Amino acid sequence: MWRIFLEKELKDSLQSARFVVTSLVSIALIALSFYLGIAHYQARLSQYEQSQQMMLETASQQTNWMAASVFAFRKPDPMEVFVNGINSDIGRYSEINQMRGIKLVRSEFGDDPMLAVFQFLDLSFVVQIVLSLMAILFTYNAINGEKEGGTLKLIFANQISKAEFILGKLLGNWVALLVPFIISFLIGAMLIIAMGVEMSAAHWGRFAIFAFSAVLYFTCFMLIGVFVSALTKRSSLSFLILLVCWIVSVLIIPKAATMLAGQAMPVPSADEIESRIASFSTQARTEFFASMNKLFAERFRPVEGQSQEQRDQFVRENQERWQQEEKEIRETMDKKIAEYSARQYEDLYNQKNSQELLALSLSKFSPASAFQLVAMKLGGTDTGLKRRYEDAMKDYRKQYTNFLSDKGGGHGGIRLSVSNGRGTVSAAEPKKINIAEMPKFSDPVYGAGEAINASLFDVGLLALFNILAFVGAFVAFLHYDLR
Amino acid sequence: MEQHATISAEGLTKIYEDGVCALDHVSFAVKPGEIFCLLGGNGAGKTTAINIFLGFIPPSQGVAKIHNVDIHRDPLEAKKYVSYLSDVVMLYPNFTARQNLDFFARLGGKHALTRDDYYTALRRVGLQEKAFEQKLKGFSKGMRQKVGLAIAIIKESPAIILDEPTSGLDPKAANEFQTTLLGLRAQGKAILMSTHDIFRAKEIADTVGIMNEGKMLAIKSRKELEHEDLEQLYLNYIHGKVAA
Amino acid sequence: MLRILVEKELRDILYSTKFSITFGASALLVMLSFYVGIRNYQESMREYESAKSVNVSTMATLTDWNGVQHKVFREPEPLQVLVNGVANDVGRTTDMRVRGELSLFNSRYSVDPLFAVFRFLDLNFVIAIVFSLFAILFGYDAINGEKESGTLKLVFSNAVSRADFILGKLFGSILALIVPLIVPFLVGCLMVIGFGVPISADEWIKLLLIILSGFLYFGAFLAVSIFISAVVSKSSVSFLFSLVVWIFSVLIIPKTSILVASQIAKVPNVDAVDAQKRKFLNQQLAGRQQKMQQFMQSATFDEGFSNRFNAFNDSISKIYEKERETFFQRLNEDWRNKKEWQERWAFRLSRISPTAIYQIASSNLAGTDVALKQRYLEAVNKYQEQFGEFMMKKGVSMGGMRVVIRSSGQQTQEEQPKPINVSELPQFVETRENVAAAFSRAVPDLGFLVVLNIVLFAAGFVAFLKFDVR
Ligand SMILES: Nc1ncnc2c1ncn2[C@@H]1O[C@H](COP(=O)(O)OP(=O)(O)OP(=O)(O)O)[C@@H](O)[C@H]1O
Ligand SMILES: [Mg+2]
Repeated sequence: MWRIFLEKELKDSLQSARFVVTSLVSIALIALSFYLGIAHYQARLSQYEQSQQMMLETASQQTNWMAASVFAFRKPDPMEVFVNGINSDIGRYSEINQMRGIKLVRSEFGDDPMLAVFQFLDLSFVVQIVLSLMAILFTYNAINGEKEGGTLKLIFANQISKAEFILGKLLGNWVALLVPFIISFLIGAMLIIAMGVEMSAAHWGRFAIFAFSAVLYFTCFMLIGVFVSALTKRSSLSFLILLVCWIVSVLIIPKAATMLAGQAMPVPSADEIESRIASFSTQARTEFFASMNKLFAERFRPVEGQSQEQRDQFVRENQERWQQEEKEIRETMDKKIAEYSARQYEDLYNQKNSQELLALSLSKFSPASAFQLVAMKLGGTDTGLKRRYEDAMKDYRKQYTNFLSDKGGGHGGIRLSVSNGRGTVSAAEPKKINIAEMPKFSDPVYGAGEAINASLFDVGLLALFNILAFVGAFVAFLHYDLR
Repeated sequence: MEQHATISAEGLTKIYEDGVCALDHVSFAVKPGEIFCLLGGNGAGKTTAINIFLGFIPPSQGVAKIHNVDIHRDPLEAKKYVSYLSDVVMLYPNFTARQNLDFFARLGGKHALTRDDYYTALRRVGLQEKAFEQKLKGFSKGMRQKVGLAIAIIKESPAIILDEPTSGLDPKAANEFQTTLLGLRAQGKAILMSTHDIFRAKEIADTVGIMNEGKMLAIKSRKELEHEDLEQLYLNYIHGKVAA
Repeated sequence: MLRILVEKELRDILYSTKFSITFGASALLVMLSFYVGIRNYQESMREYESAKSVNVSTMATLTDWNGVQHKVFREPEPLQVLVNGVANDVGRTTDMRVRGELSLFNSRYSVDPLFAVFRFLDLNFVIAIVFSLFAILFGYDAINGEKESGTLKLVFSNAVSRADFILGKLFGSILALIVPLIVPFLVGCLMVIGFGVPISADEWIKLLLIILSGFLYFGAFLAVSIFISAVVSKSSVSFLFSLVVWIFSVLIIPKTSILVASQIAKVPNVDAVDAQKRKFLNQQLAGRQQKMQQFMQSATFDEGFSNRFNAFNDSISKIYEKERETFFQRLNEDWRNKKEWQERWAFRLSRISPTAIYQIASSNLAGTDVALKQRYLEAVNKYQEQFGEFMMKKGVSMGGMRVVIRSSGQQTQEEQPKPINVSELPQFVETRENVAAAFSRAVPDLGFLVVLNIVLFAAGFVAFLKFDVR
């Protein structure tokens, strides 16, 4: 029996202005977002390749390894086509330098605030905002609209159970939504192939899961639409309620959750940590000096009042031991400071992690942010992106530093050696460095396995939302007043 | 034994959640080949009674039976034998008249109907030919009413329940409707309809039930009405001039 | 007559569920945006202060101005948290150097990508996204809804002119929208005062202007939806159209226009420019080393060597710095010109959407528009001159290279160098823009909004004149 409904629902949808308008809009937008995403990715890729090339070129002009400025660049990943995530917010590269630590600088948005004004139109955005709206538009009057049209009574004047009706209704609407979705994703996939984006099998796999979770996502809104429609008598009211739900879950909860987590679990800034460490080390140093002073006073106590010669003798005898002693004290102090600062940074790291955990867990009350998180994790443009690159770059820095010291290190710049009244600048060795010797930066691996593992929980959450909404819709309809 | 009633109400009572007593121990029966008109003013309880017959609301007391099946006990079984025209007929605006009819026909278990069958049904209720394949969007109230009527008759069920079927019909259409109804009666259908239209009721009804404030004040057969002025009778009942 | 209609409209809306829901939602959001904005401001102020003090205290441990690594920080401004604009995307820290190009890093979002994921909820967002949606909600069935409920015929069976009717609709719904914005906004202002956020008179005026442009903004949406409702006969269809207009205006056009503009007007990527600069610097360095070598070969190492060396170093540094500056300037200007042309295109295109117009206007008023980075960089560059002069006075060489000859093994207590006095360092003060400057930048867009309101309303009016009342 439900097949009759399915058929009717499809026919009804396909003939309505609503269907035509919404599916045209969503197909156009999704295709557009694919195109823009690909264009953006390719621009970034060529920028990346160009920059790396130029870096190598300038470095190869150098005659001294110390003078070569080496950068590690963040490599664009094809998954960015679908989810830009925090990609444009964090720096694109870091200088690899003996002196300074890793710092990702020059974010795309920072470089070009124009892009930050309205941000990108990526696929995950379109899905998150537009498809959910479409889903609501499809189902806001699924039940109460039939009542308003008087057809609900006519239907139930027949030998039909409520379960059959609602199942047919859901399935019909779902298929009607799925059609433009599949069409537009196929167009997108064709664009990807036609425009020559190099996607590995793993990328396609991640893309498939992305598409799957997009389906889960809009299905969820569709079910919520039916649910609300089965709770209300008038379709104008159900639409209002759904619109508010949509605003809250798509626009408000994600933002509010991160901000509330930021307030509830404030994390000190790096500068604050540094100032703490600085004041700790000043204190440690004063303590150190005080204890040294005391030590000196004690050391010379045995020779107090004796002649200069005896004193010198005493010093000479003990010098080695004292030096050892002093070294030990200094080392313990240094160690203490190092430990303190390591602890502070670890604390910061942990605090940031738990802040993030809180923020993201709070935000997951909204299917929209659950979807966004899935998308970002699949795309590898989640908050972990920065950390992954920083870690990889830190490793690379170690490698590079070792390499430099093998090359006969020392600090960069111009080395002057002065000997017997004639000076030479020794840095100006005529031979150019061979850039091929340099270790290569390898991007952090973020494979399909990791991506899928990371997003699995949120995909499950989306599925759970679906089940809840389905049960809600079902139960609400069982209690629906048919008159 | 007397022939079984296809539609029967025994002591139907409905008290709404807010305490309104919309039906107060109403009993009547409609036999095959009988047209039963529920006559009553606005708010008399006609739609309430009909809603109970279709299982949309449970009765507070009493039993409503269709084809001898208690609608409240076994709604799905009972609904096999009834077709219905509701008081608000909007239907699906995006479907054509035929598509609407097709959908409901199949819901009613008629799977093998052809386009011609639908056209015949639409013709029978007097819808103009050119509207058959037009979307319901542009239909007037009466045209929609006719499609609704076609839906009610195409199921060919033994019981037909119509809630104010003639409201919004033009005189010609009303006349055609009357003919259709008489045809249905001749086929042996039991027809229960509510109406405000005293004159038409008098013309076609085999039995008239006069209702007011949830009570069935009187049930008169055609024979009993033959020599009476139904309008006067109705007003008298409503104003309580005649004891029930 | 108009009064009766406005009154009816207001009453109709105020008693509706629609109004209570929108009022509740918007009150909550506006106050939330204020609260979070204020907390954010305080937080970033604390970060700013501690960054500054770390900077000072690390410098204070030094004994030589030569080793100074001075940093300059962008001060958070109260209006920036209400209208974020690009404030969180542009770097906040600058490594101050005596010479050379300065850059900004440590933007809010790059430091805390967590917040970049969903970005902040600011007042501007609430107005741009939520209020425009509410405006549609209030206007989509203004005309055809009345037709559907049959009241339109009843109204026009009286001596009512169409102008009166549509004006009544417009005023009534505008008033009904202003209330849910203005009430929580006033509460928000009280919160600003209560939390002790230092806000100047100029900034109050800017805030007022931002809200006024918000009114103009949703007025435009109201006019659009009334227009649509007068063109389309069914309210469910007109809602669909209004929603599509909203999606395009709020979500699609602004984003797409930027991307279209970057296709039309190509700008070389920043890394290429950087690489050119680096190449140039390397060439300079090579030349410099040559000169240095020549100098050394002819040098005699006597008492005066270090002075002579430093003087020589300073003199060539000056020449190279000049060269560098002109080259960089040319490069930067070239790039900026292209970029500005691109930006002009982007914003011109985006102005098809009222949302973009409003956002441009409000971010201009709040000083968080695209030009924020450029303005700030200019201020920092100006400070660099001051800083350079100061450091020169302190005897820091331009080349950052200095020969100090110390005979080893003679370090006694008296010779221990004294720490530098950091308070001598010139302060970096960013002058906040006054209202006039901000307003003059926002004027064109405010004008656009006004024109848009008039045009859309006129369109609605004309459409209504032709509307079939039956
Ligand atoms: N859902 C409900 N809840 C409470 N009372 C109701 C409900 N539906 C109907 N009523 C009341 O029941 C009474 C009968 O209503 P009903 O709709 O059956 O009248 P009717 O005879 O069909 O009138 P009309 O000729 O106007 O269609 C009325 O007093 C009405 O107010
Ligand atoms: Mg009725």
